[in-house]
Amino acid sequence: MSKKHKNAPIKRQDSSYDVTQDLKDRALAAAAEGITISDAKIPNQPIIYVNQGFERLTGYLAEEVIGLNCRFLQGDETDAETIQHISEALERDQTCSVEILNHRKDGTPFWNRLSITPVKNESGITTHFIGIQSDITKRKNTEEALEKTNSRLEEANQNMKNGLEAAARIQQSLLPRSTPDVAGYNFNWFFKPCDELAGDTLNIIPLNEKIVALYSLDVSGHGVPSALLSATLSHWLSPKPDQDTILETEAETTSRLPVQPEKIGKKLNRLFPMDLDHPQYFTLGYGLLDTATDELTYLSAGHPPAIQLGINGDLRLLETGGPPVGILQGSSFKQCTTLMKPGDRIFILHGWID
Amino acid sequence: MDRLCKSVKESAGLPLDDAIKEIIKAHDKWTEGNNPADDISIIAFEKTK
Repeated sequence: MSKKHKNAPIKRQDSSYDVTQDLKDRALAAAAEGITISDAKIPNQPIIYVNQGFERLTGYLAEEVIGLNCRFLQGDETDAETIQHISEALERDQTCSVEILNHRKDGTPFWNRLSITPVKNESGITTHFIGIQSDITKRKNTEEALEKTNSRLEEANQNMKNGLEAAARIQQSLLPRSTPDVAGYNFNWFFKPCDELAGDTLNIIPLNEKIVALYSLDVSGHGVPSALLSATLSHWLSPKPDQDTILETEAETTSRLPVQPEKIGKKLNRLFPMDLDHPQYFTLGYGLLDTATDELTYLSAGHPPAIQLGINGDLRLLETGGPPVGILQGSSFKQCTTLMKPGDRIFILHGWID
Repeated sequence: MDRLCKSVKESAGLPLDDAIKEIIKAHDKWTEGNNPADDISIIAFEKTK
């Protein structure tokens, strides 16, 4: 014996499901949506029935609209293409569903999701059209607001993108435009940011006929804050007359003399302390190459050690002491020196995954 | 640092520009061409005589 589920439908044989004409009439009248019936056999297809839902939706009473064509709900702002679409569907006796801007009796516009379906007789001839109207104004307004918000976001995003591109170009312009032309030495560099804006920067700056300064620095983090500090540091590490970080003026002679790397480390550590407002520090590799004595005086403040490669393939790491700049006030930075022999190369590398 | 030192060492004898290119190529190989998580840079110089 099969066991029926307690919720299984039971087919009833009595007349409980008989739907009377009276029930249909009451159901039509009570529907929340607006319902209209137009006569397809009469020119201009006049309305012959509207329910209470239609009256609530449009503000018109049945007796005011019976005999009219539904198009009286349209206004100047109603989309012409949508109107055309409805007309064509009616001409072809086809169902159509549109979202159309209509107007209430008091003139206020509302968005109407309108579906029109032809009603056919036994011979397949369309005798009537039934129209169902739903007020979708709230949804349309929400969509419109969302569209405007999206558009504003897109605009803001584009502005931000343009700003980042402009900032990236400025950053690029801070990199060396050429390499120093110094007898007995060749210089080169390579730089690749991992994002639009870089927290790293580097430079090769001839300070006088003999001395070339080289630095590579990496600001902690990424994005705009790191890029801003990186650009600021480029300015501080420039040989411009208004800067005395890498060149200082000797009081007696007023000549500009290179500042020693450890002093630069200390100064920047004092000027750019990491704190709650500026939660950033940076590593710095800074060298002064005396091309007359072939001596490189260098500092690696938290920066990876530079690599010195001899002509015979001998390799040496140029390590010095000192934490990243800004991390700890009062830190000391120790500079070291190395001699360059003919064929020697030095590589100051940063950011390489190893 | 070991792989980096190795690629620097292997670049010995090449002109400086080519040495940099070789180091970059070696790096691309071991990162399998993925974008690095950090900016990468090299300053290189040599005493020619």
